[in-house]
Amino acid sequence: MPLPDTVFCAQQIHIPPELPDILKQFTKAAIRTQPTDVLQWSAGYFSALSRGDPLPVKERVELPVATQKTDTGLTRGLLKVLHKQLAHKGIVDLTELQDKWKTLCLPVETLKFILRMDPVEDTVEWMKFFSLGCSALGGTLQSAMKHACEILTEDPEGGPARIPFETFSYIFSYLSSLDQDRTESDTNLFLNHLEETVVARKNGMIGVSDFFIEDKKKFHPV
Amino acid sequence: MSIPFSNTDYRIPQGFGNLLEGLTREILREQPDNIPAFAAAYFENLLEKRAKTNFDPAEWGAKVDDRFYNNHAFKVQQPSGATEPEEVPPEKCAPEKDTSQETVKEQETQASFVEETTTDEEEEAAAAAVKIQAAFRGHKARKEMREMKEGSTEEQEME
Repeated sequence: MPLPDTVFCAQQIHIPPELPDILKQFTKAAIRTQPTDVLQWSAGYFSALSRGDPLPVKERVELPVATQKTDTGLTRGLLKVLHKQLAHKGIVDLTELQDKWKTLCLPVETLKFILRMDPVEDTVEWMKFFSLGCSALGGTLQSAMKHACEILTEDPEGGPARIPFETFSYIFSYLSSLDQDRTESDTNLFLNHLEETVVARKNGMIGVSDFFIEDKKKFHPV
Repeated sequence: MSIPFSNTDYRIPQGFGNLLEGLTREILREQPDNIPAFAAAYFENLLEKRAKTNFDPAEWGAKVDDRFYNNHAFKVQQPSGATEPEEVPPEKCAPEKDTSQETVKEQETQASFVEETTTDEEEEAAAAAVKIQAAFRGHKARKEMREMKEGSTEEQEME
């Protein structure tokens, strides 16, 4: 009498042909992303994989930054992952955002803190949330814009980090509208000044060095 | 050949191996058609379990690894053996050389004691045997004498 369920040796175990690759990619993703809560992240990874969504994976391993200990836990790499996952939707459900947020092992308090800066109900426009996230990364408006450029750019890492000027002006005007100290005319003046330099370079892209250089000169006088 | 460009290692997250092992085992056991969906359900199930019982297989795996690589059992035993080797009975792990030599010496001394005691005992036994034998011989001689006397008296009476 045959015993179909009895396994006598390793040759009897059928390994699905796609399994090794899935496990390999999963492991590589885990090493790259370095999630603090592996189980939570794994659940998010496979639910994204099964739905065909962009995976919650960093493109490169991100070295721990010194400020991360005191900071909220949100890093540039994590915000980039979120951007990759949610940017194509335009307008994002808060529940979905919270889901993705949890998958990256980020504290919910931070999300609430970010959302409190510009309260919304149920849905949030992704670019607005992204801008708020950038401002949470860097204290000042300038460093927030720098983070935004470095995340959104298609230039290789360490490059000029150029982004389209429309995107830049949208984020900049949104963030400065939240800042009571900045008047609208100030913002427009700054943007107009930048647009002149950008138009001069024709391709309509703006890099970090175009607006960040003035701040640097203060610290490193030549 | 891989060339290291930085001095930081790429590390596998703590407890990840344990999760991977569990997932692979379940996939091989169930042979699901849609592996990603199955894996998603598997991890969701584990998450639910963690919410209920507070048991995290990744954390547990990390702890097991930690126990394996940072085994302090050896460290705890060593100082107690080194400071007081005399008082530790030979069954426990005291420094082996010293005690073994000492026990050998002790055994030797014990053996010589045994020899001495045996010689003493032999002497005593011999003395005792001599006494017993002497007493017996005396008894026998006296008995013979009595018999001889009685015989002589009987002979005298017969006569």
